[in-house]
Amino acid sequence: MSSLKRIVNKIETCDVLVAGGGTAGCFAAIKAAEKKQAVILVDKGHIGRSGCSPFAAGAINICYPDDNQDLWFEEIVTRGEYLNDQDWVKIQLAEAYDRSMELHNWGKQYGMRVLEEDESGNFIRRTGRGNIHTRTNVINALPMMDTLRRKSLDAGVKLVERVMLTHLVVQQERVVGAMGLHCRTGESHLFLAKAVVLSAGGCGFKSFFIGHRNLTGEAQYMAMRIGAHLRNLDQAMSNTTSREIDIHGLSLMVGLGGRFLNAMDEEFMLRYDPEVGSRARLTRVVVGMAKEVDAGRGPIYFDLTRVQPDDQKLLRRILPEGFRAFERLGTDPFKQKIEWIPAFEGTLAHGGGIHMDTTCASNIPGLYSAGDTSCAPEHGTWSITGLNLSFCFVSGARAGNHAAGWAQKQAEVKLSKANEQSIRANIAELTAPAKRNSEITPDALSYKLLEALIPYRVAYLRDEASLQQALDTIKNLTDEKLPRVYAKSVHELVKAFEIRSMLAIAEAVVASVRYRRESRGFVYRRDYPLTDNVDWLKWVMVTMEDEKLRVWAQDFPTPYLSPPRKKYPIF
Amino acid sequence: MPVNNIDYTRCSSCLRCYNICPMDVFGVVSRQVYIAWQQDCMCCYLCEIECPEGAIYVDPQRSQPKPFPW
Repeated sequence: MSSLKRIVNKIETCDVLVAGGGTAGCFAAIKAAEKKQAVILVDKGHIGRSGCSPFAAGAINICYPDDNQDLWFEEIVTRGEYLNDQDWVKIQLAEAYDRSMELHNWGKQYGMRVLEEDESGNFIRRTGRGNIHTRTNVINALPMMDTLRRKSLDAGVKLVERVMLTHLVVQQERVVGAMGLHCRTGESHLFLAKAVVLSAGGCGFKSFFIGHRNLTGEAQYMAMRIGAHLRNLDQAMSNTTSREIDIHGLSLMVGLGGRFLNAMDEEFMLRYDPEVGSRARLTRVVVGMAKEVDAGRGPIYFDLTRVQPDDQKLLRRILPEGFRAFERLGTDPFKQKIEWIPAFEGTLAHGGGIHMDTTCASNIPGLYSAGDTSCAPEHGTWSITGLNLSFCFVSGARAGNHAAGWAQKQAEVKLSKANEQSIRANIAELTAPAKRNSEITPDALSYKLLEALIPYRVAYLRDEASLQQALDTIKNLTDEKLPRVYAKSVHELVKAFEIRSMLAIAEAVVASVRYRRESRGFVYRRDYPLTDNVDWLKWVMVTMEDEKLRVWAQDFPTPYLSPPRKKYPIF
Repeated sequence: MPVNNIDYTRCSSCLRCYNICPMDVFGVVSRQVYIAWQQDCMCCYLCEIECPEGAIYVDPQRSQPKPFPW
């Protein structure tokens, strides 16, 4: 320990370390603290205003005790195109109500309204995108986060903010802590812990969409580097947004009459999903948009001109940021159609992540995951709107409880000489860009990565050749450019590690997509256009061995609902 | 441009924007906040929403050019 103090600026010890303070991380920290564990919750930003959770756009899926759980189960699994972990879907349906009520009641104690209620005090529920029998409640994101921050503090959790965790510490094949960099001081921080919960979101690649640009995949990357298995990265996701500005709330907008149009003013989604047209699931919308452009019928527009006056008011009230943004651009979206594009969001939300069992345990002892960092096992491909958020509550709480249970059985962590050596190497890796002098900035490399990753022939209408080309470009950026990235300040040093993480996750995503030789969910392959339930009811798995990717496919159980064993066209 | 103006006649130096910004766009010198990393602003409006004095203005246009899917 004494020699460690010479190489690390700050060392702290706890029972359970939680990385990432969104909804999943706060739930994990609170539950572990309630089990009398010493808990440290670390975040790259300010807990309550960091990550995806503050931008959760109002919709949350909660199954009530008197809802028909069998119907909900069937809807989620069939619309998840059978890639769901069915045991997790059952857990989600059984526990989402209790966790949501727990959070809502904490909010009440602090004078905050988390779930929206009508004048009689009943929770508001409605039908959102993808919902048939299932329903979504309406949730207020900022009061939700303010509640979780206060509850974490009241539960005795120690908050450490503006520290980016980058590396896990492993001893005898067990995780015994993590380390990283203070985003303002540049000091190195080491946390020794008996269990670690990773709940720091996925990797959004600094692409389009609102509020996601500090989610660059460090948690998934650090897990992959120590041999944790990741799953469903082939299902890296997209939403859609205005070409000019980043806007959210699309589910609500299409529900109230918003339509996707091509250059000929045709509502083209009726071609790809005749039943629901513009209300099609995201997996279809983004591929439909790309098909229109590919056929020479682009660009694509979003048209809100048919939204009724009362609904216009509702949209302005629920989505004030977006409509204020249009106003500032001098655009009235209720009078003119707006050019629209897919917004690649990578491994955020249901776009894949750390493979885990129903206790949130990864394949590495002592390492747990929750929320978007995990493989979002309840979702399959993309099932219904609002499921992610309640999954963050459920998985966060389970991860906290089980990590605490594991920690209670472990002895105090004592680091070895080998640990000291790897900690020294990690610090060298983190600080190297500050010691270089080159013209390659983290921003320039981020642009190059997006240029390889989001063209529609790589992200939407894919084939072997386009995917191979993207992989070659990403590998070239990793091998040739990344070792030359320089940082002229601590702020840039953080961004230099972010691009390292993004490149690794990008390679894992594209390699996973290439591995899936069929079309399902967000994977649409021109060279394999059928959904293949005969040979491809498999999860695509990925990990790193000696810093190299290994990809494979894994069969999985379907204990409650057996998918039809046939091949069928995706459109 | 994104966050591009702090009205110092209104700013009370409460530092809320500096404390909450997810992208760490702001810096502080002698308790005075300034826009240090404008190119990292993601136009999320959290600073504008949080500012008790209405001293911050966020323009919706993206801070850096990005490649498009087509």
